Amino acid sequence: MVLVLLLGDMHIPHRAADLPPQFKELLKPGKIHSILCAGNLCSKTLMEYLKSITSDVTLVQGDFDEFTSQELAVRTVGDFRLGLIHGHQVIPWGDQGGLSLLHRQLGVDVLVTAHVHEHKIVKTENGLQISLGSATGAYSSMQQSVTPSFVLLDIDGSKITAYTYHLVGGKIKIDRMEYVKPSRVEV
Amino acid sequence: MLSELRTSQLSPQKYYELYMMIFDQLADVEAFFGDERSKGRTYAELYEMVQHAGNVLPRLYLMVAVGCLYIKSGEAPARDILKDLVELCKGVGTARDREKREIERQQLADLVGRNLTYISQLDGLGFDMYSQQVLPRVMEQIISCKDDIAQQYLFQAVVQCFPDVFHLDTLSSLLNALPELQPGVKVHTVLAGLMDRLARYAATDAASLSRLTSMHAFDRFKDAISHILMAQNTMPAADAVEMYAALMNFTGSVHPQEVDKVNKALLLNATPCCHAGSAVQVVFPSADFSLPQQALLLDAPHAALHIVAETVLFIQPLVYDAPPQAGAGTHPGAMLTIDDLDDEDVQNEQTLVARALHSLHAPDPDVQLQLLQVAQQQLFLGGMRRLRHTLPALGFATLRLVRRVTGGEAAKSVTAEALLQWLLQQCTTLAEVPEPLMALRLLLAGALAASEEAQGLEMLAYSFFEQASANVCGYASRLLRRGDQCRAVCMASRLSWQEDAKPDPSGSVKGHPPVRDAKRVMACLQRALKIANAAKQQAVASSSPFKLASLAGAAPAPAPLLGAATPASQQHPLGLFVEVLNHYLLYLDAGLEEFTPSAVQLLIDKVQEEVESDVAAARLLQQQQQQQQASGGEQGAGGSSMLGALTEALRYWLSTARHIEFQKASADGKIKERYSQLQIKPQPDMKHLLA
Repeated sequence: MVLVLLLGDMHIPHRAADLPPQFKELLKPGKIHSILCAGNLCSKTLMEYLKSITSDVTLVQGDFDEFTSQELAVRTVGDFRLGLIHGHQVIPWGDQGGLSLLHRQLGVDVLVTAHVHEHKIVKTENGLQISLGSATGAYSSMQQSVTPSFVLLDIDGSKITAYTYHLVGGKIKIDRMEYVKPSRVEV
Repeated sequence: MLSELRTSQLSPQKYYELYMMIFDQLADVEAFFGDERSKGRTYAELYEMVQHAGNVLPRLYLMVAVGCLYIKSGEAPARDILKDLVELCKGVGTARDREKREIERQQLADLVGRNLTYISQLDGLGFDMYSQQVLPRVMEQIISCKDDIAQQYLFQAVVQCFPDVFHLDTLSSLLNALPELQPGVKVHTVLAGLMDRLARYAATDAASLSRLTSMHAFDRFKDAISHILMAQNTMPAADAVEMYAALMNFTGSVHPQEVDKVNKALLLNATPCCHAGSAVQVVFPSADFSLPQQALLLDAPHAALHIVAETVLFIQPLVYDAPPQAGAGTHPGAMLTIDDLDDEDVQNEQTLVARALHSLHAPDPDVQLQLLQVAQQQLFLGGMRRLRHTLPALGFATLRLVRRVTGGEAAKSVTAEALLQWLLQQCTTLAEVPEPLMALRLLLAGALAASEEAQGLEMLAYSFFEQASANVCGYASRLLRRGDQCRAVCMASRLSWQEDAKPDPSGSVKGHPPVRDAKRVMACLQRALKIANAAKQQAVASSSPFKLASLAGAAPAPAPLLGAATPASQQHPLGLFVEVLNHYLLYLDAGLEEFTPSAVQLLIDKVQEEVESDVAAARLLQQQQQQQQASGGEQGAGGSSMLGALTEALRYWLSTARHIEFQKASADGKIKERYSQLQIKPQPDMKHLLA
């Protein structure tokens, strides 16, 4: 069993001051194995904090990041290949067809993107598509109001349990969904 | 190693160990100087040279080493050399003596402190005896001893040894004693310790919490701080700030509901005497207690305005350089200006200022604009190097306010148009800073807000785009690599075919009808295919004539066809063809008449042709590599990296083929009908490439 934290679009300091304290309270060192951060941190303010949660932090470039990271990353956890990319590369932004195209292109089981600041997890023919909301609830050109959220994946072999933590009116709300990787023969 | 000795942090024992190690090493140094002498340098020269060592201690050791040789050689009078060395030792000696004395005083303080602990553990010690006999006498002793180390230690010992409940009732005696301590005592540490201890006590004991509230503990601490500051006007600003930070934490745990208390504490902090690092510590004392956020959420709008000014005043050293004034320099940090900082320091500081901007919040949009304007005035004083980090935050704060206004919040004078005009000015400044890329992004966000959120601001939206495109020109001239071109053109095709706008919650669709230009889409994708073909030709042309494979050695490893930023599959020409095919499929889904199943089929056939020849070529390459390995030759790195890219491109093709099969069973009748006309030929054997 491996716990992977997915988060992105913090936009500190451009659009937000800090992660909500309620989230910081939950994200304590020693529980989470890996962090996949989808970019737009935008300063390195939070890097040290993320590294204190776990030293295994994978970061990709967001369009507002003030430092350079890799454009995309593919990590293997359990039986899953996880693809991580910020998502501003998908045109139109957040387009389902464009995301699926990217999903096939990367050849991954789980595609993790952000950028649209709208949390969404969908099961598709390609596997799981996770669109992360903004962890700070940062302003977005595309959403009228943004609820701060992040996702915790509990990966156990070929099974993923995805917990989404939303901050609604100062209270944490948790959604849970399960996904089992279908057995598939290549070629 | 010598410079390690220049510290006061070593205990005598450790210092001695280090000294012994250095003493051993000095024998080697001596031998080295002896060698130099045999190479023709005179001892006089060497003795002169080592005196240029910048620091006293290393200079002393080096001079001892050379001096010994010098005396032994008889080239100089021993008396002169020894006189030099003794003079130098005086410079070092006094510091050691004082350290030693301090250690002795510390040991003494420990001893007395232990006795205090014994007293606190005595069975018969009740509160009456403590408050009437023990504490007054101990305090008298502490104050009359006039020794700063002892005073600090003993005061802290009193705070730590005796029970919390005693402190509650003797708080006045403790606080009154503080200003009487010696100036060298770190009163801030003592007071902070007391507040922290009481805060922790309050957290575990509900009764003590109400006691603290009823005895006005907050006000008493606040007054104590003022008295201490008055009594000790030379206290470093950082220490003063530390006291306030402790007060802040105390307030946070004892009176968390009372925003007003926090607010009072903040205003206290507005003393414009602060040290950059600690200022920030107070502005963001801890993650779960974001101070300005709470303080600024006051209902009274003008109070909030006042606080912004105060907050800015408080963090002023971060926001702009103080004008030079006569007699400045009372605080060591006050003399620093932005010219003394490197870019990274500036960024770190300004990131904090930018974060603080998001804490500005007024319930009334008109007041909110005033808040932002006050902030902007202050920020502009800071100069371009600071603005590049803070302006984006101001820009987004403005955009958030635009949304509040367009979202229907009642405002007397502020309008979306005025706000966006202001944003446009901010963007112009940002481009001049120069931070053109950020300016461009902010302009686009502004354009989007002007055209989508506000009503009737098309001209303003146009201004945003006009400025944005002026910025873009600088970037467009940068050359793209073939693969990047191909992907960019594919993406650009999507700009020419918009989907229906999503209706808002009321069911109506706002804005212009979607852009639908199928011919342009097709033209883009044809161009993408041309680029993919060109990429393939380039790969073939750059391969060695001895290798038939189009892949072998197509590019040396460090410079593949595309940058490392692109997906691995896109670093192979096949990946580009598959990419275009995927875009064809998107438009087949959308039902563009140019993208008939037979047009798509042509591209599928083309891709399958490529797959077959690439797989065959790869097999050849792998065989060659195996032969080379068998004959001990080295494997070409370029070939391997291209094989990796091919593997990814093949995976991309296979998932695309699966997608086509999947769509043949679509629930959407039209999709099902179109895809059922597509044929995929049996795939060549490629297991060896995918493994």
